[in-house]
Amino acid sequence: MNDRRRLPLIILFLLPSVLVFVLYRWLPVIWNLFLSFQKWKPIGANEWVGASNYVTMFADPVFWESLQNTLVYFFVGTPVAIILALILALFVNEPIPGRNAYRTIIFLPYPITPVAIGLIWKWLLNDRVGFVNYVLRSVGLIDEGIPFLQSFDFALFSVIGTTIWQVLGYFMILVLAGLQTVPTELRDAALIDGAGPLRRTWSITLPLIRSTLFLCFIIGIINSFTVFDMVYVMTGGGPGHATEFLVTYIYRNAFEFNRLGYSAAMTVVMFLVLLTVTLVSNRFSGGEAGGARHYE
Amino acid sequence: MVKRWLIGLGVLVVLVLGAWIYIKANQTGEVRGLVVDGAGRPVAGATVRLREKTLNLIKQGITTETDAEGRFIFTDQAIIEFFIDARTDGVVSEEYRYHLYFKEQDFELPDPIVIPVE
Amino acid sequence: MQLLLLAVAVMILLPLYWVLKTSLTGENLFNYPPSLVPRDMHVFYFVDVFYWIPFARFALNSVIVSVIVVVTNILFNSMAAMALTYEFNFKPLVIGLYLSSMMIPFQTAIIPAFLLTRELGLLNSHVGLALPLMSTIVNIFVFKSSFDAIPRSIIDSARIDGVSEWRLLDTIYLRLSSPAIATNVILAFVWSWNNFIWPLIIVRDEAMQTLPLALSRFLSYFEDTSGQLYAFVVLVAIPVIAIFLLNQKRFISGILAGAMKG
Repeated sequence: MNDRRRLPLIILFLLPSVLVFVLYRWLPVIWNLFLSFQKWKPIGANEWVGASNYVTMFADPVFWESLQNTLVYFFVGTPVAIILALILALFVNEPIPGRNAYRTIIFLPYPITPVAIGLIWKWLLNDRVGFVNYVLRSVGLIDEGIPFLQSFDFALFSVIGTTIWQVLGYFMILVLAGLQTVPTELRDAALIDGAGPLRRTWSITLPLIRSTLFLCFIIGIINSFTVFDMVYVMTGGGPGHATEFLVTYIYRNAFEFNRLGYSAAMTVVMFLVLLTVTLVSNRFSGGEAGGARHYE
Repeated sequence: MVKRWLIGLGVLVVLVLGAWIYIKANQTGEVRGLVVDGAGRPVAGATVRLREKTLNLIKQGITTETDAEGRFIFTDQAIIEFFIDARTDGVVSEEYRYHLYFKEQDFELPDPIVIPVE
Repeated sequence: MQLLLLAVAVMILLPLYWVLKTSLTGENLFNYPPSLVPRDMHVFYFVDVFYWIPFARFALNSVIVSVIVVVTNILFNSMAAMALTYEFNFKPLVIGLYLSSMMIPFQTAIIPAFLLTRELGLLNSHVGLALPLMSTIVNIFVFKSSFDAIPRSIIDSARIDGVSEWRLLDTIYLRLSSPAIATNVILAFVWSWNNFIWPLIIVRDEAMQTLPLALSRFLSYFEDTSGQLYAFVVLVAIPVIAIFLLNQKRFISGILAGAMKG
């Protein structure tokens, strides 16, 4: 049955939401592309400069550092978060007392605005009055407070750690949903066959939740390319550029240095990298795994 | 379910309105108090100094004198936090610190300022 | 096993508890060593937040923008979902458009979004703040699932009775989808309330700031470690935490629906 006669109405109904997406997702992709070949002028027409923005970009050490930091987040932070979430989900899936409470508590940081989370941890990691340093000192691991967010060595991992703290509950919920699709008969059968819990998990449960894990992976990819709020309030990209990510550098160039053309070029590159990584992972997982967005 | 939300919202509105009315009724900007000596007798003619505290600094003080019954009053105050002390004949009391709940709150010092004099 | 869960739960709760405690006592800002139990609780840090900055104004901004976002989400998303209940030639194209829009994160669109909003003259306005969030794919599919579950017979008999399509949407589809509406409200509100990068980009006047933006700027008024800052944090986080705790199932199912679609 085809509702062809209703076409005007269909289009009318689709229009508002489609308009929002075209204006704020699709149009920007093309607009960025055009901008990337221009030199931005606040007044008057922009100047077409061909590929010079791209040339500048590839010669810009900060660009490479921010790309590197983004990839570190992706290759280190995401797997850590997913593995931790997996372990937690496996435990919470068992019939233990208080599992709902655990689930709620672990998810709790996720709905809080990342700005607040960033400020909370910025203080907890403070080298003079931070709680983390206090604990480390009390157990005798260190003598003086570590300036987590000011040191070139620790800053990146502190920021990544904070994002993991927030996103852990989200991944755990996803894995939990996947776990609950595993039929219990399979696990029971394995139990009868005498397989220990570790072996059961490894050989049976894990393969069955492959798609869930890849979903988490893809979400993690998108996260690593879009984390902004927390970094902005915790370190602003510093010290130096130790915690500069692609997004923060793009923002800085566009809205602090007014180099919109240059930023657009970086955005194009970022978008292409993101797309490539996502498509490759998708192909790897052997199926569709939609990307969820948090509009944070 | 919608009813629950509406009731909650209604309660919130009532609370906010009530608070607003209370605040408006008590916004005279007066800070009043009593100065006594070590034995509890009111001290007349003592100099009371009020220093406003902002978030980052403490401002220069303003002063007033107590009347015959040892009472003093500062008017038209638009402050939220302050230090206050009193002195007479070269003896000065401790400095007390108070934090108000809203701007120009009509405030009566809960305890008298004690100047340790016989 | 339980030990690990307990340890993780503590690691999650402790920072939050610490912030709450500090906002009520301020003791461990300056005292060392910090203590676990609160002493001398007072609300003066919260009073300071309202006194020293136009907190009420910022909160109002956040509320107005979020209300706009919620209302337009319900409207636009339900319309889109209803359109998707029909059969038409380019339906797969539309669905493909929606799904692939999820692949384009907002952070890649900030520059053109800014320029566009400027062209529209909507910089620094509530509507401008709400615009990018007025419709979200997740929420469209939440409605779609709900609409698809309504028995065809009800729809058909309503049409036979001569009910117009708009009325159909309003009286039947939406009336029977209150869980979907609730999910839309919750997700749209939280996303709008927490939004930071967009207000950061388009807000030019201090008076138009939303709460997360004002929170980030608070540091420029006062020193870093101040009780007032954490009172502010508590105030900004409480609405969202409350919404989450009161609607856990719906919140989580909405998030899952968004992640699974594809």
